[in-house]
Amino acid sequence: MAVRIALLTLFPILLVASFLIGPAAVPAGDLLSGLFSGQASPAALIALEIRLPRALLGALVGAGLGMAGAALQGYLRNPLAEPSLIGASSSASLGAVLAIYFGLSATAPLALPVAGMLGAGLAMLLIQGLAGRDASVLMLILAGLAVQTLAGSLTSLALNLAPNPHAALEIAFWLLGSLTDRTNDHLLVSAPFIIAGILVLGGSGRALDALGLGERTAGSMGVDLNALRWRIIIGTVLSVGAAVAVTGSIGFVGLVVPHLLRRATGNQPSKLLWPSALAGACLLLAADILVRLLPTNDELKLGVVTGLIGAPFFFHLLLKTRERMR
Amino acid sequence: MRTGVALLVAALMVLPVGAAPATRVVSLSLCADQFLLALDAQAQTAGLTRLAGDEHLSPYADRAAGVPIHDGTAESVLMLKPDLVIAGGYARAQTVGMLERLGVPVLRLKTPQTLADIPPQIEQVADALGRGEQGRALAARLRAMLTQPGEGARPTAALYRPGGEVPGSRGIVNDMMKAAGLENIGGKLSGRPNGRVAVETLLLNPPDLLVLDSVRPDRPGVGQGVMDHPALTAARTEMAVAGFPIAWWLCASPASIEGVERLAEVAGKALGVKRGSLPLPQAGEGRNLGDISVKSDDVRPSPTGEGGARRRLPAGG
Repeated sequence: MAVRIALLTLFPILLVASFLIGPAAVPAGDLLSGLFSGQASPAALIALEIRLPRALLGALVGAGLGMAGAALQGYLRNPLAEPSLIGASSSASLGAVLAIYFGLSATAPLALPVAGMLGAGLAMLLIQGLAGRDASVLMLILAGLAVQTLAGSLTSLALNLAPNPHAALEIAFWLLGSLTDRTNDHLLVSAPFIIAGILVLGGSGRALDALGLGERTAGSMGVDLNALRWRIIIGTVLSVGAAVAVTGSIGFVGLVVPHLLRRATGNQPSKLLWPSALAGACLLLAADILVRLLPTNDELKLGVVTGLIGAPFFFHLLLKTRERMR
Repeated sequence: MRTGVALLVAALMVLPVGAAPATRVVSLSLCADQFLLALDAQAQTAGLTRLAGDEHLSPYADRAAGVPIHDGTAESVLMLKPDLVIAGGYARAQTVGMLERLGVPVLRLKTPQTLADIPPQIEQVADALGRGEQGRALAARLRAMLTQPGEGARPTAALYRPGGEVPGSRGIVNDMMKAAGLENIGGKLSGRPNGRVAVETLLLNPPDLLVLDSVRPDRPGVGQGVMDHPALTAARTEMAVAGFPIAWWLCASPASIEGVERLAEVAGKALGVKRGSLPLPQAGEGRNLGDISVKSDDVRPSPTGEGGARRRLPAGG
């Protein structure tokens, strides 16, 4: 309970901070009045067209990734399950790259999230086929690696075939994930899918709790395992696919967040899902504030920050898993 | 095959640079292409780069028609049996090294740092081609174009490129803007000689003229997306926007000096100022200059110095 209260306090603070902090020093009062003034002053434009979509996208994408991580870990009963580690993020990137560089997203804005979701969907199906539902940690990680490698190679191939000669360079940075200069259009095309995905996953808590007791027990408790599987797949595809398509792949949020929370909320997925979404939003907003405050030459990429936080975590989890496997 | 190459190399080694006018010249970079094309040396040219005929990137693309194209590798250059290879400043160092090892005469053009560096290079290339007189004439014509614009109010300008890149206080873009009577504030915006600018920084310090040179709807990409950010579109009431073909300042070449008057022309049209206020040597030869959006209603009267660049938010937003 204390965790929920802390997160519920932290979230609005970070959301407002993300709105107020940016590369251009605009007084907070001007930004806030710009939100409602309806004028076309630079401050109002910055508030409405740049800061607002950035803050909201950060919150939504973080929430989607946190929720997807918690749900996947519950469903696969595997502490290392995470959208980017199982290859869903890199496959969504592949979809987005195809949509961007072959002009689809320019003519039909919805093509971007749809392509991202198609990519993520293919990855989820591949993982299902390769590792199955009750896969060992090792099998899951290897299957994820295979999917990531395939998606990465296909992305490189697509970039080589793209008509834009700068494609490879641009995408090298894009893939690191960023919220810089994302527009309300990005928000509009991705938010409905991310929210739908979060809701789909958020409603799976009880079934996941039951699954934690074993498949048979869950079945006898009236859980439709087939429906649950599709629910998890569809929810992940919606939230991760649409998020990655507009921000690039931002890794490790779904890995770190449920782990940090588990100590406070316990292991039950139903108690973990919504706090994970909230904490994911907080983490991403905080990381996005950090990249804007750091005096680096060029703005640091968001995925770099989450990676720097997440990779040591991954090592830590691997060490723990190794001990358990011995 | 190996004997063939050896014979070829041996044959080439007999011809030192400058002894006789080169008749089979191969250019190794888009920028070196421009020197050959500016001198109308197509008859002496055995190979240009693939980009020489790309009208978006090569200002003399129309003159490159019919000239053989090579892919830039040492072997395909050798197959063209060049008696002179012209290499740009930093392009294809490996290939240039390989060609030099094989005894092909190479003329390296240092990348010009300023517009004034360009005419001497024209003469240098022209001499190697045995067209010294023509080269001196072209150089003299371009030098004459390089007269400093008059003192007085200069509209501020910034070039904005995909990904938010803004060329600043260094380089040929800056030189060309200055020569066209514009004050480039790109460096002030990014705080670096060359760097990136966030859309919001641009909105807070809008230049009088935003120059776009890389809008390519046929080449979609992440970077292109920044160019039509809705906030930027809305801010077009604040700044005049001019399209300028990138070809004219992509390379520091003879075209850069010819490009100055084209730049002055598109800038003048976009800013809607009277002809007298901007140095406009002559109108262009009726060539298509790309899209020009004119927002003359919204352009404030000629700003003074950096006042225009350092406009602040109105109090109370």
